[in-house]
Amino acid sequence: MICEFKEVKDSMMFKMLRNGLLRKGIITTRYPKDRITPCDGVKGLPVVSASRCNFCADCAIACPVGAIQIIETTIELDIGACIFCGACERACDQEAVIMTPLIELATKQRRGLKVTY
Amino acid sequence: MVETVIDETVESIGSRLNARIKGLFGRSLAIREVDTGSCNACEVEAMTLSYPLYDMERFGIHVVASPRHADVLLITGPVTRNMELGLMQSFRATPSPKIVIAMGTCAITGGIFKDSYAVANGVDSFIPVDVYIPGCPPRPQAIMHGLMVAIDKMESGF
Repeated sequence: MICEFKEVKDSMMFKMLRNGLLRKGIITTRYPKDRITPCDGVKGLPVVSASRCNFCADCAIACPVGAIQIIETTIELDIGACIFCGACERACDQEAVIMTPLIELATKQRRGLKVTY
Repeated sequence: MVETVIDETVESIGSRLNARIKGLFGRSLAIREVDTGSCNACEVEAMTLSYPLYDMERFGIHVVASPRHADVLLITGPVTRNMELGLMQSFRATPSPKIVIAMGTCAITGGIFKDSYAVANGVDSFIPVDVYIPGCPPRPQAIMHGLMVAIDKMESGF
């Protein structure tokens, strides 16, 4: 039995199979342990830096779904209405709005989707 | 050959999810997807979960053909008038305990169809929603995260 196995092991077909002739590889990705890092260009949660913002409301005007509300010096963002288009980022002259690649945004409550900056 | 960079991260979350599903439902988690008039982008992303790249069936999450077989209702779309009845019927047909997930911006607030005469601004104007997954459409990984949040909510007794 042992010598037979050796013959098989030295055979051409076995070598070809071992070198990956028919191997397609595993393409299944693993779910990350801490945080998902999607590929470039993915738009996630828009983040407003309060120090740069001058409350000109350009982003609120540019938003096609009205997800941004500016009340005096607070910016209220409803992620439940946001379509992650990036219009607010493009409209901002101060570069205060940045679309981060953060996509794990699922919540248990509706009010958990409302972010105030 | 498809060249993909497999992260050095582990499947720990996935296997933990599997263990929790087994503890809660005894076998696996069955999802029924209800399309209440969405643009099909959410369906494409949810379908991607069954493909080899994400492959949610390895965690025991299946998509089933009837709400009577389902534990989870995954609802997409802004609830058009024609689908109001269908949504209510599938909600009643799902056996308890059930989880309702509103997936995508349309299902949460109506999205770009908000305040239109033909839609009813989101799912939670009809049925109680347990988990909201924002995104237009949400990425497959975001849907997986949403399912984990849903199971977390179910474990903690709603």
